[in-house]
Amino acid sequence: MAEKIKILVADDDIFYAKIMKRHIVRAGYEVSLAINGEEALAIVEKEKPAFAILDVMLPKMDGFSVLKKIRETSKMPVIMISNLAQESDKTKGMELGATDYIVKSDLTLKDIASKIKKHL
Amino acid sequence: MKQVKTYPTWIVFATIPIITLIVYRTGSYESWLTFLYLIPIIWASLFISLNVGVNAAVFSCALYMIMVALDLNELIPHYSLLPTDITTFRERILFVGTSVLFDKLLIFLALAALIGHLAENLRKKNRSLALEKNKIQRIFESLEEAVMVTDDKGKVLALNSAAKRIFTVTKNRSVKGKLSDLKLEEKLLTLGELSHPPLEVSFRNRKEIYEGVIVPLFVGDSVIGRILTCRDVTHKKQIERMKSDFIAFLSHQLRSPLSNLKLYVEELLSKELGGLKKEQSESLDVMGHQIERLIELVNYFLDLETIKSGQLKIHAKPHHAEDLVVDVLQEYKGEKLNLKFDRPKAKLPEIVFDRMKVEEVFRNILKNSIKYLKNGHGKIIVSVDKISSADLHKKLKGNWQESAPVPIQFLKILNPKKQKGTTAWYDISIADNGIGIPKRDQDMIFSELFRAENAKQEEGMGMGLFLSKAIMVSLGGKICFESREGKGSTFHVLIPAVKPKKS
Repeated sequence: MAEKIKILVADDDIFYAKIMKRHIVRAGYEVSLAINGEEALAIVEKEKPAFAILDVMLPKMDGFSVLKKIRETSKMPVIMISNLAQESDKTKGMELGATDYIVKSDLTLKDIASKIKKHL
Repeated sequence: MKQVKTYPTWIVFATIPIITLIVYRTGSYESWLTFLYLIPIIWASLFISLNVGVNAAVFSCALYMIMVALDLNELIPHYSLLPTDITTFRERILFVGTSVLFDKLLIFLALAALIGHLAENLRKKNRSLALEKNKIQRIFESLEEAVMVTDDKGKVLALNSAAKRIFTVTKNRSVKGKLSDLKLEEKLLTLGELSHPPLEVSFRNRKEIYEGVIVPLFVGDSVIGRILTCRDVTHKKQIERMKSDFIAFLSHQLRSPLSNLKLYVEELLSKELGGLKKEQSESLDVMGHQIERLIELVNYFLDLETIKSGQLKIHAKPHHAEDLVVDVLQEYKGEKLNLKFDRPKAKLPEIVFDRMKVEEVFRNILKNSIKYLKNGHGKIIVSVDKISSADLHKKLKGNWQESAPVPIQFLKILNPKKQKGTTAWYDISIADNGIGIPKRDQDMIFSELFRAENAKQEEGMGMGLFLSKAIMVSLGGKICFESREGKGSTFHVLIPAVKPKKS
């Protein structure tokens, strides 16, 4: 069996991370979870996931900083998710090179799978 | 102030014969009654304005002396002006001389009295003027707002104590130091047309933030100076910032559990975790729906706060208006709806506008149209068209209604001036044959939290149209409608057709 595509999900909201993981796994991918920014960066370096879903408000290192670090070396698709819905946050994310910025309350499970498929 | 009392000229001229007559009738100089002629002179002088009074006095005296000198008793025999024992020419001249001297003395006294009276009047007036000036000075000084008056060259003429705390004025009466955000002197100089509205300014000085207006001063058509009035809004800004931070925080905190709930309910409904009984799935549907409503509410507050606090940023870029429509309609593809897009015959050229925001407005209106369709056989036709300002003006005078204007609190933030100079508009229209808007409610539909009488059977909070209106106005656009109850409504989202700059 071909190796599954690895996806990083970084979110300190355990419940949110859990359901995301469950759903993405169902869609046929492998998921690595990170609960803070530093962990997320470590996973990116070590496991080289093909796709990343980053929460903005992460402990230790926020999502924007993680994104900045990732963009220094890689062009991998990174979707920022957040409960921060202000336009300034969206703009900041997009300017830092996010593939997409989605407000969590707008996101549905259906979207997640289709977004991954679209950007991979 | 009291008006100085003046009498018409005829009174003055009437006074002269009266004086002459009195002098004439009272007999000779020796008569004690002679002084009587002074009475009307003083009277005239006191009540008639200064010049006229003096003229009257001098003129009367001259007349009298001419009469004495000419010895007019010869003309009127029964009356003698000269004592009878004066016979020689020398005596006569001497007598006239003394009489002239005496006369002058009297006139001098009269004038002294007159001048004294006028001087007193003047003093009084000066005193009240000084008092008035003092009062104004005190008001000027005690104003909490900083006020600075400059001449037409930008040199400072006056500034009150509040202004002295902000501005330092150099020896050559110009404002010292650089005020970031505001080249004050330049602004003070450039402003100055009669029709110019007060110029709103906001600037920083050290750590404080100031807001104010500059108003030109006119004499006739020419500017003689300018007045800058401003106040320290640092504290107000801090509070505004705290409020908006709080709302952002709150919306984040509320969104967090809602986002979770949304996904978990969706997962249950997707039956990934096992099949559901009919009732279970119905309950979950209701939950999902209520969660959406809560999310909508949170979004609304955040959007409203963004607009109210003036943080709404416009990201205008060249776009095809039709693309936006196509993309939104795509979202409704799977649904059983009679939803048509009446494409323009030729693709309209790109215009510069904020696509995200217009999209939000379009989505709002479309959602409303769908919601208020009459069950079953509803039909919605969307179209995009170009309309000239003149045609739009006609339509607005006709059936198209802009309805209630945007609430006053927005007017300062949302700049309606952006519409100026727009010669054409893109009109995204959404026509339905739904329930329509009752006539009596039509003026109110863009008001916050308002719901039309016949719309209350459907769920909703009365925020969509209000927000749409606020967004469109802030983009320099418009939103209007035509509607008949029971027949349907057509909404028009109007974007100013700004051509992209050629690079």
